[in-house]
Amino acid sequence: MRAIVSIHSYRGGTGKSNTVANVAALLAQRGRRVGVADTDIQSPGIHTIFGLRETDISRSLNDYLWGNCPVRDAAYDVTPAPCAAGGGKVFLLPASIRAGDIVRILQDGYDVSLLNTGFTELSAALSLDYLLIDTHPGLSEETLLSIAISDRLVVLLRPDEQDYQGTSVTLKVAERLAVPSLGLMVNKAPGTILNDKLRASLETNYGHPVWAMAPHSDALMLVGSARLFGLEAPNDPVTRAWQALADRLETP
Amino acid sequence: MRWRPVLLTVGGGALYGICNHVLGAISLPGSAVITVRPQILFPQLVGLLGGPWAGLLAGGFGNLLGDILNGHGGTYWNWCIANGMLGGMTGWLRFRAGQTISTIAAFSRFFLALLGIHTIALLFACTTHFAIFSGTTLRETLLDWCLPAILSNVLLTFLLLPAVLLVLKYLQPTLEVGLGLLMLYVLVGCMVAAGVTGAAALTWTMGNASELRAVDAETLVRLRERVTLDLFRITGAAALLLVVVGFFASLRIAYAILTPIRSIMKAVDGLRRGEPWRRETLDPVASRQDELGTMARLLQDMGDQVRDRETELTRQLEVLRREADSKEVHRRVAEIAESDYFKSLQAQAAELRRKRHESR
Repeated sequence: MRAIVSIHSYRGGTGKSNTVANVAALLAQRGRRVGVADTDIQSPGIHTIFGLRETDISRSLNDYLWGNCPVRDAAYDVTPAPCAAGGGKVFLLPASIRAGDIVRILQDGYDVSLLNTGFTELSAALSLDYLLIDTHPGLSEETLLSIAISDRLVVLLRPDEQDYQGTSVTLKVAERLAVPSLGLMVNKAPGTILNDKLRASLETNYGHPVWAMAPHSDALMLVGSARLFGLEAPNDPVTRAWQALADRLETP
Repeated sequence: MRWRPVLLTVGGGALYGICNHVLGAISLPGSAVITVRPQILFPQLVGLLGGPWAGLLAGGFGNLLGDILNGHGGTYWNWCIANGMLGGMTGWLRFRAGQTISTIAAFSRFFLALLGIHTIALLFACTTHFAIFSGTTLRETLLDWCLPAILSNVLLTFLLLPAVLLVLKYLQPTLEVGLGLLMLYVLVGCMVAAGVTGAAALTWTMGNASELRAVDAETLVRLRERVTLDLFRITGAAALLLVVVGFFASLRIAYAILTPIRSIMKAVDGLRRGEPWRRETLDPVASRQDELGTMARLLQDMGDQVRDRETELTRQLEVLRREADSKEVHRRVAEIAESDYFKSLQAQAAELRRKRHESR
């Protein structure tokens, strides 16, 4: 196990799930065994990017949290074909997409500390190199736990979102939880020269490095959350930004 | 690198001499006077690549070698000097390391200089030949011998040398040079076609004209020589004249196209380097009604958008600076940090991470 990495954004709709899925695939392409945990239990979505349909998912993270099954049984091998050659693997631990399950977990809650046990067990059972956690936006209890147990936290933001406060709160909270390695990724970055300006300003004001900057991409918008864009368009600037993030995660 | 000029001199000179012996001078059909000598490229190339001395020696000794192989010995020493002059003077145009021809002005200067060099070298050869060996009148020497030789050598050089220089990468295929090359080949090509057509017409007329049936064969041959020579002189001189005019014309055309392109390039470069956007610098180009005008207007739009995005980003960064460390942020952090859940998590976090690392 190299690292548990939480990828978080204070706001929804910043392209978080796409980033998690594609960085996982790119790491697997380098021969890594990568787990992806969808803790966005209220609005799960990352499974579609890996081509997993609702009918394919018999067990989910919810079942584990309710004590219905061991966590290993809720993980699916979703290794994309291009990543398999080098021995890389991607396992997805999806959240349930059944409306009933979502309502139940929202009403009844769950024992958040089970998440930590589950992640540890899953990493051991599948001999994972990385576990990437797709967190729920905001700073709910499970998000705080994910951050707390992570070796690395990537905070995603979009400069046009104007949500600089939420990002700042997330970073300060993570500092208090003593996450060893903190960095930012910018989605929808404005463009070459403006990027330098933005990067410098973010690093000065937040006191943490910017690990990657991805521009807006119409091509990515067309693919949406239906396929792994990073494997289809290896030379797209967005893919290059994901590669930069993967490089950063690979650096101890 | 010190051996390069020596190798060039010996190799180029030897090739020149051998070609002079083997190929000799190929006569154009129908005229013994007009010859084609593609090997004339060798002394010039040695000069261009190795400098004046290399060109001088390769031209002079190459020619001497050819003469010796042909059994003339050193009789025509003046021709050796003329060939040395050709190679040596071409050496003044030599390419230094990394030097290339990339503009139409340099391209025109280069080929006009070659025209001058050929003229000087052949005038020297022909006048000394007249002075020493006599045989014909000076007028005949210059018009029937010197002029066709200049035309033949220069036109061959103009047709063959650009291709060689392109291969050697001394000619950069820029828009300007492309225009010059196009002009050169079209004009010379047209005149060659005119000459060939004229020669064909002449052949047909002499074979079929009833007026010439009474003329004896020897006169016919002389007549044919005369007309072919005139045809060659007229079309050849016209070709050279057109090329010279063409150089100036393409200079004009190149500047007409390139001046707006340069101001567009400058504007793009300014944008790239983040200089303040001044859209009015493109107004002269943007007012054109052609494709360049469209391009300039598109670029003005793009520059406006970049400036707007920059203004917006500057505004955003101001918000970032204000909010990253604001009271509101501290209040929200404190609110989370005060919860019991957070406190217990904080206490456990390091422990959780440590345990996991130990269990590896």
